[in-house]
Amino acid sequence: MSSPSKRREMDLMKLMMSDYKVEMVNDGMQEFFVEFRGPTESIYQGGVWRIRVELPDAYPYKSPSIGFINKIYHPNVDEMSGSVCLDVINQTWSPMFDLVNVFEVFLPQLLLYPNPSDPLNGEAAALMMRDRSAYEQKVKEYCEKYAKPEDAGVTPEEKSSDEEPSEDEDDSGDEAILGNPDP
Amino acid sequence: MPRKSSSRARGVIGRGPRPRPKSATQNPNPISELPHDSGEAPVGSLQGKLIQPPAHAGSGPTAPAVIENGASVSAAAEALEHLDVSAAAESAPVEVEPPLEASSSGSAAVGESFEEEALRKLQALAGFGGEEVELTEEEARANDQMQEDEIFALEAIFGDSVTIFNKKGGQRSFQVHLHIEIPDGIDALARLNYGAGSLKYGAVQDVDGSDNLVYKFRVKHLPPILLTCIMPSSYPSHQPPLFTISVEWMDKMMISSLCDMLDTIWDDQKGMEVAYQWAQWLQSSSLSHLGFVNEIVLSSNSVCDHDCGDKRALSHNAAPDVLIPRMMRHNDDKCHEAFLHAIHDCMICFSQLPGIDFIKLPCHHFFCLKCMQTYCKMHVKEGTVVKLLCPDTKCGCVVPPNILKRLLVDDEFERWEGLLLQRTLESMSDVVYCPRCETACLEDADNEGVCSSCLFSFCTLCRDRRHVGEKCMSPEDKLLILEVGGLHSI
Repeated sequence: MSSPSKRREMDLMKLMMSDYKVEMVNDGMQEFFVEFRGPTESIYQGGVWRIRVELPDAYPYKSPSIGFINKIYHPNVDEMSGSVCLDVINQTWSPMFDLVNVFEVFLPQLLLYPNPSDPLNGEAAALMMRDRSAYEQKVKEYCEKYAKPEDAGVTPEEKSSDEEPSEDEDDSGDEAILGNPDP
Repeated sequence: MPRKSSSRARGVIGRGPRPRPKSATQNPNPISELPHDSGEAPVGSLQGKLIQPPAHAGSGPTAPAVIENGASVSAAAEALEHLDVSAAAESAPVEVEPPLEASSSGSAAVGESFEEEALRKLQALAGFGGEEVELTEEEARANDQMQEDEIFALEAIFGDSVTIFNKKGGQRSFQVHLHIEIPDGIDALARLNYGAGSLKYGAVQDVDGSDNLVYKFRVKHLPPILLTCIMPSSYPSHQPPLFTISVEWMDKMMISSLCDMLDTIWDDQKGMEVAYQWAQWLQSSSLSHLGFVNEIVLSSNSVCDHDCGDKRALSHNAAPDVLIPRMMRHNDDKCHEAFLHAIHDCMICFSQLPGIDFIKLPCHHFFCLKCMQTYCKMHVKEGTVVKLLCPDTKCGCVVPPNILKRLLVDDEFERWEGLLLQRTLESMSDVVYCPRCETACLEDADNEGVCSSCLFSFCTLCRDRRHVGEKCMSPEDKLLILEVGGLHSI
């Protein structure tokens, strides 16, 4: 593997720079948590999720694994574990993609256009095909119940330069913990 | 004792072995191995744009043959696609003449390079003699010293681009390739006449040439201007060097204009060294002097024979279908050279490496060798060979076999070949495997297959012997058998 750490560092840096709240697990840059908001103009709008990202050894040749910590109702996300179907990510993955792409492009796309041919949540897939409005209703229910900002409490690693005016968390914001995860 | 300058010889120069220019000769034969890893087709595919001028409204009612613009566009485009970039690249009529030394014939001798031609013609011009200048011994010595210094400076400045010839008959001479580089690129336009000449609508020929097509392409590097000089012993005190200018892509008129300018430069400062200034001017200002500021217009008229224009102007009058690919090839080569020498960032691992450590795909995207290797090895190992595409997110161009050969070891490459074949066959819906020997066969409309290897005729549904007329087993039966595991099936 050619200088894997440089690539990881850069990607992580870019992610933090794009105003995503990132929480490292340890200094290894293998695993971390990110706060993710449902894309506007989708049925997941308003929901806030804590996402666990794991970078495999072969990153960036292999895609990262994505998992939703708090619950989400989606055909391609396993309800119990929150893991996103890896095949779906892998199909479109390229070594040129980075973490920002995942959160800016890939996840929003997945939420907007679920892939019913490869469901991890069979019930959700079936409901989506059978009764679209009931499906949308259920999605919103889950957002209300499980995807409130408190449920996805993430302590920020770096203070973001511009605060988001919307319903921001109770914790974060002011107690900015300035610290660089990489040596 | 006054030294006559008639040692500027008539015919003396011509004797003796002609020196081979040691500078990197631009190979006039464009068929050479592509140095870089492009699996692309050779020069046949042009990347320029065919611009069709708006159809002019003036074609009178008596226009005899109304040529559809569409048809002519495709005809011209076709002509361009079937480029014959063969060894007969010299468009000047090739005459088989005995290799005369100071030959002043107009056309290039067989197999002569541009450089040799330029030198030969210059020597011919020198052979015509001229006014003889009487020099004092002091003047002669001063000239000699200045010439030597100038040659030294030229060597230092132009390096491999300049060739200093051996002193012949007491005269110094050199040849320099002046490369013109436009960092942001410049458009080059070539007017293409279709038919034997311009079309005539009625009796009016459009001077603008709007019945012509214009082919436009963009380059960053132009084929070099070749300046060849002989320094007489009266230079620089009394006379300028003798010179020829040879440019592949300019016509005689353009080059003559350049020759005039060189004369002017000398006239403005007689008595001073001028060779470096000439080279410098040609390299930096010749384009703007000719009015080629935003774009270059390649001339289409090859009517000028070697009697008109300046005798020192050597043009090659290549037809567009020879010249354009030559120019594009030169541009590609130079761009590639520049790429190899510069440092680039690999977009996968972000390391900074020189161009030689990169692999360039046919789609022109490039990544470092290590990354490409890891990438390809991984996909071959995992079996996901259909995904062996350019890593660029929006590209989707397939990684060609020749590059894979470089990146993979033998058994990995074999595995790739096998997997690719398998995937391809699987994707073809009418491929079935013979029940007896597993060879791939084609299925026909009646669900029958004949194995080419063991010659077994079988029904592709039940995979048993062919049973014309008899009903095949029903789907339920087949399912039953499958569940029990009786029949092998794909």
